Amino acid sequence: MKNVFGEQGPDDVERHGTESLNGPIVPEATYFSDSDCVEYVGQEGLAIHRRIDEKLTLILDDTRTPIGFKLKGFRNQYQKWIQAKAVLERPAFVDMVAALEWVCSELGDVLMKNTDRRKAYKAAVDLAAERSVKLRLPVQTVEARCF
Amino acid sequence: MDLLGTNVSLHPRLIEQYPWARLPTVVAPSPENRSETITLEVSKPFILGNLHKRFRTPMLQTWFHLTGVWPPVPNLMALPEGECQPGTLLDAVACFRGIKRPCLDEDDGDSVLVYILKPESTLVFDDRPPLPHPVIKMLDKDLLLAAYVRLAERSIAAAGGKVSGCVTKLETLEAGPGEPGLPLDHFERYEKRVW
Repeated sequence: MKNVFGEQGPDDVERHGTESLNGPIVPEATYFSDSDCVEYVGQEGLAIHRRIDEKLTLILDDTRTPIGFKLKGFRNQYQKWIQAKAVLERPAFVDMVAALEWVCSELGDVLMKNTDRRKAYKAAVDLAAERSVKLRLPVQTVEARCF
Repeated sequence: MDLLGTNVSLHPRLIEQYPWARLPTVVAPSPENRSETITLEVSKPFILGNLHKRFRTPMLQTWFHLTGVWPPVPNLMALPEGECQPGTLLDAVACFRGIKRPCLDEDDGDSVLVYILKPESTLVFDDRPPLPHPVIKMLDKDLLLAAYVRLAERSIAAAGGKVSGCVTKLETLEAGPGEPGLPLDHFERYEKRVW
């Protein structure tokens, strides 16, 4: 299936599909290719998006407690990261702690000088570490890297 | 090679099985002339990404706030009758263009449109047992919704009345303290306000 931009849609791939839509949520990071962002939300219900900067959005529940995060402009960031030989935990996944830490290192002094932003990044890293958040890579990417 | 490509795979049979996964097209005011309308589709990666994770709330919100009809899901009778009605992007209170950050091939996301909605309530999924079901949730006064749209053509007229682009995401945002209908820090977020 192609969208209005002529881009290939994900439902053409019939491998590794979800077996059923019934059951509990699958709390893993997802890349949304139309908005070029990776998002992790840990629970169902209202999710309030609080912009931290042009790279990070924290996602809060209705008590304004962090339940997730969004990394924006991810394709650009990720490809730079791969070229810089960043660590991939396993061939099929990107470890989101490593991805967030890489973004933090890119920001460097900017983050050190701004307490609120630093706290927000720490909250996202803590959440990713506590829940072992990973982004599943597409099959063709894994195959291309492995073979 | 696009390293990310697609990381979601879902058999089309599942979409047939769950009618709420097939979202209708969405009508929105034109950014160039508010009295005219454009037609949008909802992003397939957005739909499939949420289905893959079994997240119902983003799907329910998209039905409720963008299509103008109730989603075809069971247990909607649990909702309070007549209190809330579905809306569309024609209810938008503001529209911005440009998101001041890289987005795919654009360094500053300057073709991205952001429609702002200010509903009193929203539709979320309560997944607590024994009977998970959709519930209407009243929104705090400082909350609003933003629908992000990518246009297929820079010029709306060039689209010739067909689908003009897609809604890539619908998000709940916090409003600015002195501007209840506009997102917090909208001057920093967006390039310009269209209307």
